[in-house]
Amino acid sequence: MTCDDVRLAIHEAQDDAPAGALPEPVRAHVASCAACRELASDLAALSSALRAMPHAPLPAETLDAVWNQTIRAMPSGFAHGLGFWRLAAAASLAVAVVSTTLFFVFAPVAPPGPTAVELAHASAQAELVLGYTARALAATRTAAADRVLAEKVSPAVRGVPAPSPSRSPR
Amino acid sequence: MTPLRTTVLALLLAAAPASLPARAESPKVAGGYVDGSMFRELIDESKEVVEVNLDGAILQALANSASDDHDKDAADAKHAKANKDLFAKLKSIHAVIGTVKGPSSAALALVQKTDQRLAAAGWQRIARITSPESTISVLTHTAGDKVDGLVALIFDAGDKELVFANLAGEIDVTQLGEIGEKFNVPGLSALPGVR
Repeated sequence: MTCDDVRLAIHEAQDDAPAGALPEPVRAHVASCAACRELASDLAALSSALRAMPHAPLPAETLDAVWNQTIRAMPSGFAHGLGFWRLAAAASLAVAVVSTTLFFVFAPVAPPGPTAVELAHASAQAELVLGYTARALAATRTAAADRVLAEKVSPAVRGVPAPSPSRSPR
Repeated sequence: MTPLRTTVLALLLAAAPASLPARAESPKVAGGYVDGSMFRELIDESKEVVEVNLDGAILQALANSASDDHDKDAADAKHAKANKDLFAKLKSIHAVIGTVKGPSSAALALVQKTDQRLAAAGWQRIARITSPESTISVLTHTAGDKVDGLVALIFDAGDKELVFANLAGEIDVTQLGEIGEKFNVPGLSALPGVR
């Protein structure tokens, strides 16, 4: 057993949680090899120190970043996972396109506003009606004034008693 | 068919013709709106007829267009603003203007009957002039302390011209008179009180 074989075994043992026991041949080599013993000692100290640190949850964005740079960045070996995401993205795009098309086809369209010609026509009609209405108001106002002049003011000016009240415009 | 059913059916058939003319002559009224279709039936189609039916959407467009033109002098701008205010508050404008077919007496009677029915329905008659040859009535409908409907009925027996105009919505009668006087309308020169 060479030192490289022993160091690989030491690394594998430290990867376990908790650290696994070294096989007998490895332990025998470590007992006789100062360099391998030092490596085993250093890795044991490092592992125990790391495992003693408090466990803080990984932020979601960090997890995503790690995910993007590791799993998703792998060119092969994850064909099944990437195929799923591609399929999901394609399905989402298809649903979005179909939904948008259906919306524009079947959604109630707001009626367009009146054209300039329609507006001018409506304006002329409205002015005509308002003009007639104002004329009616003016006519009744004038007639009422004439009636007051004829029945009240003129007799008073002439010194004649006013006639008895008759039909008023109201 | 049982005798009872026969009797009921006969009564319904007998009552139907009697009720139809009464409904046809009554103006349909809803708030400040008055249906003027009964006047439309009196108009002579072979002569010039003006029928106006403007609802809220087109009136809003008119109100907006009245304020769009910025190249106006002060008087025009004031007039445009008054127009905008008037149109913005109106809900509808309906009118029938034309020459009556047949005898004038029928139109005169319908105008007077409509005037009386509106007055009986709670409309306020703010002006009425009647003579053997013509009649003018202006009635308003109020909701709370605001006028929300106006009807102008004009009939001149001389040229047999009939005007039915109905404005529904919030109306400032004084403002309406001032604005309307700026519009020159043809005819009706023989009406009493018109100068």
